[in-house]
Amino acid sequence: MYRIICAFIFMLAPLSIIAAEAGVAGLPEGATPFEENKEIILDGVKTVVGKASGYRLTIGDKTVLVGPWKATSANGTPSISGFYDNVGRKTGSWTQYQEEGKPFIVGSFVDGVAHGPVISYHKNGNLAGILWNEKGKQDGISVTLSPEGKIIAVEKRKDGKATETLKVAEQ
Amino acid sequence: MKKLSLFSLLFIISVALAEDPANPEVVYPIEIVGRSWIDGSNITQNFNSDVSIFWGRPAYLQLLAVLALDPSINTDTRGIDKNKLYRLWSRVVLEAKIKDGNLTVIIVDKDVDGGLEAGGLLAGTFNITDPPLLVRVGNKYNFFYKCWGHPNILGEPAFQNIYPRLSLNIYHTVTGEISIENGALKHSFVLGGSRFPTHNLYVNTVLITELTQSYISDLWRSDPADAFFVIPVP
Repeated sequence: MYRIICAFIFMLAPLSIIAAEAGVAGLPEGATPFEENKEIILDGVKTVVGKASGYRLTIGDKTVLVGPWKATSANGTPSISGFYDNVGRKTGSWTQYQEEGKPFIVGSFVDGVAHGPVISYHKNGNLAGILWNEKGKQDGISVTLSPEGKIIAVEKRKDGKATETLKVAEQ
Repeated sequence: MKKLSLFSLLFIISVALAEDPANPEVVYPIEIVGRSWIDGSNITQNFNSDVSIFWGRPAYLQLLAVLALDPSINTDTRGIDKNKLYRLWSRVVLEAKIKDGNLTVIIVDKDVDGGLEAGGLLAGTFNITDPPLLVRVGNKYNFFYKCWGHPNILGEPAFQNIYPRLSLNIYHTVTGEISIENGALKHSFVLGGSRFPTHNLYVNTVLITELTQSYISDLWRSDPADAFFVIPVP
């Protein structure tokens, strides 16, 4: 029951992400912003396909990412966004986006490890699937749905490994 | 017939089982590691000359951006470590023994792992031929295994939205032969795999082969032998 309640609360996560991205409060002292273009070979020509931006911090002999981190595609729409804590571990909400900038996959990290519900969405905005990560490993029941909202499959995993397929929709 | 004492009997057995110092058994461990990983520094695409010419370009460009920028899969590291910085990782340890000119090979260990996607929120599937094939033919052994996996089912719509596909699984295969030549152990291993992503083969920690990834759009091209697998490297 706890997981179900968490999952439903989490479905509202995209709204909280937009709010959280508005500010960068809480960055550690010495953090410096950066922007980096990413190129691929497209039709034989080096082409900027996107950009990563965030903050870097040097701790001892290591440089880590801290605070908000964002990747955008070449046309400026977000592709992935999330947060790093003050020692470079992923934390809080992370989102992968569709080409129109709508959320595609939303989930969360605790101390650098994926933990909690993960929700994916279809292009029409309907729920595409939901699963649970337990300290870095997919655990328990996952459900996938068609764009029309019909359940396609229900799968059970333990420690990341599929143990049982409970339902598969008739094709 | 004299009765043998227990001590005498044990002595006879121990002598029979003892190693002949002039002809010792020699044991060779062979560790094989396969690795499939997306080379974020070498992502290529040609819209004009392959199947992707018909696709929705914005959705495809978004996927390219994600593959190039995702901090959980943009991994240009190499090495044998089981560290999640790959899509697929496999490890098989063989033990080859030579005694009196005869070769014996057994599998002593096997492991498989998969990497992460969607910023690290999702994990794909990973499988390995279980057990790997090891067949004795005369005084040599033939060896084979396949390691395969597909994206997490929550991540698959990112591909299906671009263009429907059956070719969900990427893979690497290792085919080998272990034999004796002039009394010494001889082995050779050949790496195969899907055209995307890049695959590596390590034998006893040494990089033997690297198959460089082709166009990402090859992820939509099925293996003629099995439509659920990506077309193999020629």
